[in-house]
Amino acid sequence: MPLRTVFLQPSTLRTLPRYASFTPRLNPALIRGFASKDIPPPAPSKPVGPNQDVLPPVSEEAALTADIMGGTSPELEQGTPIGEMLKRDPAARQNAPKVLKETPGTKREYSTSATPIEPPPSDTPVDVVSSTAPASPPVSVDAFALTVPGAKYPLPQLPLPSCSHLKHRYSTLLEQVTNFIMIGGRKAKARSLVDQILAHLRTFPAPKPREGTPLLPGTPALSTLPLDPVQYLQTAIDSVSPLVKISMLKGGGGTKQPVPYPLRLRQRRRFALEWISAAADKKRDKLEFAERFADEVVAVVEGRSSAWEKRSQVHKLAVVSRANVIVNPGRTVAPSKIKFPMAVL
Amino acid sequence: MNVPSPRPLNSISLLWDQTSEHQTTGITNPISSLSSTTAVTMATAGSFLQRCHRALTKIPRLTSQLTSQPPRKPFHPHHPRLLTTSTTTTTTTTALTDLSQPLPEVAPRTRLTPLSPSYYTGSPEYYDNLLALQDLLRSHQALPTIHGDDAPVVKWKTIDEYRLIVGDRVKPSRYNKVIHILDRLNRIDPAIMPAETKEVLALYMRPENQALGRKIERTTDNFGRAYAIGRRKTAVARVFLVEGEGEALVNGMPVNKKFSRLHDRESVLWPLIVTNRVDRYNVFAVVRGGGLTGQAEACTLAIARALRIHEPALKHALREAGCVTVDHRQVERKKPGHLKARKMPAWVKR
Amino acid sequence: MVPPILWRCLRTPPITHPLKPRPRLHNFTTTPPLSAKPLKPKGPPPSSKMKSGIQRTQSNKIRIKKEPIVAQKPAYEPGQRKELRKRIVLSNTNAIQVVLPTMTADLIGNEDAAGAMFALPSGEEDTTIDRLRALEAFQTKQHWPFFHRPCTLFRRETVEVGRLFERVMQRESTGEDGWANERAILHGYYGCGRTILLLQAMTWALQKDWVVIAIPNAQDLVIGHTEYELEGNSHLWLQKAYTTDLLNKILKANQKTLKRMKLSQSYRLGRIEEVQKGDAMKKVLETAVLDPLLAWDAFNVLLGELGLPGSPPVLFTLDNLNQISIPSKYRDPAFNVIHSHDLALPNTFLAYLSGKRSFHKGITLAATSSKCSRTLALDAALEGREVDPYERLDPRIGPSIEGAQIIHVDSLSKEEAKALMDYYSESGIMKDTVDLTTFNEKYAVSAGNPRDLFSTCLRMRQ
Repeated sequence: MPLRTVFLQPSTLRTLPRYASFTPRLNPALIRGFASKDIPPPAPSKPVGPNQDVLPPVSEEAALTADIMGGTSPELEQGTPIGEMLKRDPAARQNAPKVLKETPGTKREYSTSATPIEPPPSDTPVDVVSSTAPASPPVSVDAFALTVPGAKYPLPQLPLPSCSHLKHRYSTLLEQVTNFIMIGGRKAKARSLVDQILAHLRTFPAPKPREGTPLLPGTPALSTLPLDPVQYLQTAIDSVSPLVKISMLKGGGGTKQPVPYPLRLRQRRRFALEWISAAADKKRDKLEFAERFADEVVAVVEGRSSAWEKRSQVHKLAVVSRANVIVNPGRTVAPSKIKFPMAVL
Repeated sequence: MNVPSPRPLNSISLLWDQTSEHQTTGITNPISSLSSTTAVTMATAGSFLQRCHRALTKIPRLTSQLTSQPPRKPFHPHHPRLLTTSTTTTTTTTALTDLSQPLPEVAPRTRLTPLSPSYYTGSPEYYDNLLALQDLLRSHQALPTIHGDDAPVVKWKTIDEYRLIVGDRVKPSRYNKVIHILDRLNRIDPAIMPAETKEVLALYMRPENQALGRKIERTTDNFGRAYAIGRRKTAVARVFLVEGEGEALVNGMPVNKKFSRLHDRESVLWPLIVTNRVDRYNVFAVVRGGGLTGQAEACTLAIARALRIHEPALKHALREAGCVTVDHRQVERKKPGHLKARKMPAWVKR
Repeated sequence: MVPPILWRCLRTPPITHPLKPRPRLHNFTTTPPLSAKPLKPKGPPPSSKMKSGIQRTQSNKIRIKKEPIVAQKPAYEPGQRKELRKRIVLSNTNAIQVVLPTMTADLIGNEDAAGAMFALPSGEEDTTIDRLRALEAFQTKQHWPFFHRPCTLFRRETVEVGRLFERVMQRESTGEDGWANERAILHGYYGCGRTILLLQAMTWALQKDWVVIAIPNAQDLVIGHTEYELEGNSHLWLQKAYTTDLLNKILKANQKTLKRMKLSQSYRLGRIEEVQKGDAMKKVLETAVLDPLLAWDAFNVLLGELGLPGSPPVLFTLDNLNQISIPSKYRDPAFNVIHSHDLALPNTFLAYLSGKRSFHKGITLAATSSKCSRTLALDAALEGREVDPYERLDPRIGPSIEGAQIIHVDSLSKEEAKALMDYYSESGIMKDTVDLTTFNEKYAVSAGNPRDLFSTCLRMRQ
């Protein structure tokens, strides 16, 4: 006899009615998928302020009363000026809220607009430091410690923003550029070179737009790029990166056929980096590597780099040899998933 | 019909359920199955297997279902099994309650039907067990769970002990599958964990589980310092963390004098930066051994650990920031006969 | 080293920039320079994988095509690289312009201004920045190219430097007949802003029409890159070429003041040249600049005149004091190492710093450097601690800075760091506004060090 249900005998089910024991402890809010239809869904979690669930305005109330009692209802369209009511009724004047007692026009030091109470975000409030001295955070520490056990100060909001991991502090592009530049595992040196490149991009004159440079759509205005050098670098690399690569496949009769293959983002960037650094190496009138590289990046954005020719060469060959495209290149990619960028060529 | 025949386990001939036998063997009486239940729940590790045998022999078989229906597929996610949730219990419970009733007469058939749906899998015992657990899990899928860290600490049976239960043909990967399911079941909120699940889990626990669950709680000392150690590469960092104004001393030096690279300095203070507590704590670190990167990241680990002593609630944030993950890799030693750890001298003719 | 006798042979020596390498024209050579083979062009850059000269034929034989040797134009003219390296860019049109008050001389010693940013004076007629440039007050690695115009932070230490000015000016205003001399050394950790403090002092001095004499980098004096010769009377080694260069800077920066300065007596420069009583000091320097032989005498005339009553106040600065506290790279004819203090220019500066010589009114300001090998003797002297007799330290270092006030340049306070970060944020260096989180993070990572604070702010997290 198989051991199929060695430890899960059906007989136990019979003796222990399911859920009978713990049904009373069930908290419907805690259990997903158990809510029955007749129980109304729980109220939205937005807290309700003390004066949000109150009676309708005075005039509306008066109108309703007049409807029932048969009197003249106040003009609802125009509303009753509260000042008039206060003038008419001395008792109302006494009991009027503080806001109304004051003469209009003077500036109040408190707000009277009823905004819904929002709980303070769990992230530390963004508090712009005053220009004289850094201010202390407004959330009082003791009050917070009472609410969250095991935390002395406000907790950071999870998930953490990107680039918060110890090992992934920089954007993927910068990481790839660093690794591309690195020689012999000297990462610190490569990082400093990337920093220098970015610094040069800041200080070089802003690139001049040239007609016919196929920069990525959505590129910000070129004059703003020097203030955001990472965006600058990304614009250059992503614009000049090829969409396909050509690999020569052995054909019949000792010939070779060029076959275009689509590239992933990382591969595309690598090709662009190869071309840019190759063009930069040819510059001999610049002192340092970083300066040469940054200069080439500017050249790419301005459309006068040799990387553009290489790109168009690859694309032309891809168009010519589009008959050789292997539509189902591997078992991992379904034919429907292949995004062969013919339209962009 | 009322004579339960104790059978030897794993005998092939008996795995086959012949329809002609149904009238003589088949359903045990409910009382005996009840007693076996209690026996199983009180099972201890020593006689576990024997109890299992006994329980096995007394399993009520739904012969009507097995024989009158065409053979089932080995596995289908929505197939009603013996153990199902309330949504699917209707048929099963009727079948179970009907057990005391005499079974309807079934036309004798000559075709042999495997009793277990996993008969053809090669290790039917294991797969039956796995399927049953998966069924159980599926039935409790919707129950609220707690985080793995808050779940009761449990040590499951080792793979050898598990092999004793289901037979020899259990690879580690298959064992891991079972453990995965058990871990998931263990994460069901203890407040509403079904008794049935508790019993099942108890079967897979090791007997020494009672000793577990008492972790050493690290606290700050009477000066308000939290002390922790971190290691990376060959560096060891010892860190005292006190509430303060954000001063950091590493080997008695400010961070910018100890670590000239900006990246390393950031590494040291990363747990505090990510949790936005740079100006809340003072760091006093002593680092020995290793190079600059190793020392900086050893400090990271130590500070993150010390920070957790102060504020246990930061655990998830620090984990997400990669600050509490221990990287135990170290330089591989050089070997005799090699130029480096693995490099061999170039081959020379003669 | 050119023997002095040769100099005398040449009536009018060619006037060249002393720090720039001269064109390689040998007066006496047996090889006609034009017949020499041109320099072989260096190989292609290592990254290029093309091998242009090699072609494979069908028979698999490699035939190497000989390329005709073409005289390749060198990538750089001699000295061009150094010029490029030393080029100072003071503005960046990409950066956002920030409106800031000007750093005027009214701010001297103003404590309320501490912790605020000020722009260096610039305008149509204001030539302060050009004069500062002539004095080499700006250095290459000081982040000027990132901002629209040069601005500096007014720090607590700036107030202390201002106090020196205040004391000298007080004497001046009360008309006391005494000597007003202030001597100070700026000392601190790397990147703490000593050179910027020197720059601020020079800005004030130029605005107040003081005579500013600045040795921008003492390293140039001791690394053996300029010619030197022994002067018989004082047993000091003169660096005439460097002195000419220094005079040139002084002349460019202080034209107006030097024009007004009249000589109190006649002097003799070199062997032939003479300057008469009543001549403008500017004329003396202009004469000396043309002839390195006269430079040292002219420099001495200038210093001597500045020591007389009625002369304008002086600011004499030297950056990288550490460099003249270690043995120099020069050798005497017996091949002994020349002590840095035996070189005439460092000796003169240290004489003013230690109070052996003094101006009538003036400030002598030195700044230490962190880019130097260890100078234990100077460190001990700066800390003012007793020197262990078994510690074999240079005994000449201690007395050379005796009596000078030591201004410790500390890391930034939070207010100062906040002001700097706001300025960075407004100039577009940092993307987002400065909130408490960012501020704490950057301040902790940089530990208040200005240089680190800048690089931390420059590197934004994406």
